[in-house]
Amino acid sequence: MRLLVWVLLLVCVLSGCSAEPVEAQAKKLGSREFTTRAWKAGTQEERGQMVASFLAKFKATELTAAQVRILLGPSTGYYDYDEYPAYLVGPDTVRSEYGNGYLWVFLTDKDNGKVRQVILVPSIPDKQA
Amino acid sequence: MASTSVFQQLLQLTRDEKTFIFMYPEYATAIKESKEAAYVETRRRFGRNGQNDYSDAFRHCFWSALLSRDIGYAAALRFTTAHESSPTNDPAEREMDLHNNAVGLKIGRAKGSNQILSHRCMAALNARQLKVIEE
Repeated sequence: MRLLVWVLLLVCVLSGCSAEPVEAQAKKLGSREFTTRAWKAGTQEERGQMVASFLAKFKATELTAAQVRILLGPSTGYYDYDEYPAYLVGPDTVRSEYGNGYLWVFLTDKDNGKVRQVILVPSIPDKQA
Repeated sequence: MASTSVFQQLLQLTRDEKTFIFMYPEYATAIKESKEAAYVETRRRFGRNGQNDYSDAFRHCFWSALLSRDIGYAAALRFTTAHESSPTNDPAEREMDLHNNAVGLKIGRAKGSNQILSHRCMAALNARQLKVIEE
């Protein structure tokens, strides 16, 4: 029984497919320049327009969760672990279990707090409705 | 979650969670389904899934209640504690989550439908039995 479960898990792992890179997804939200000041003053939609600029200015995987919070402030959303900075961005017409908007998440290494990967949930489709 | 592969989800687990799943892979599906149900129910009740607030407290309570009912109190206690085990987890946030998990684990031990467990966690929240950092 346990072997069967492991085989099924392996099939799930191998069938997992990766989404478009987050940088390419973010460009679909807009090209407003990111500054910490503009981010703090921005609406959720305006913040979404700054995501691509942020990712161009900073190599996310060289940041820690603490540095992300200094740049972007406290999380405005939640994704699975308290350790992950997470921000709702973009149009609030987008709906998921995480809230209204896209959830921009910095997945971090749980031993040292360094960012390992950045994702948008849900993934941004080619053409927004 | 719909947007991340199973492989990505496995990578995100804490070391203690990975150990648990390695020892008890038969619980993986129940754990995944309870997490998703907790997000959906929290979103339905609060309109969002927040951090350190009432929605966070409710989500932990309801998730733990579902797990306690579905995989048993002892296994659920072990996994929900493993979820908070990383060294980079803020101590105050860990304390809040472990407290709300403990309330949920007891609620789930008494069994009941998802609706009943959700109602009992809301009752616990309203009775101020759940902890929050930000009101």
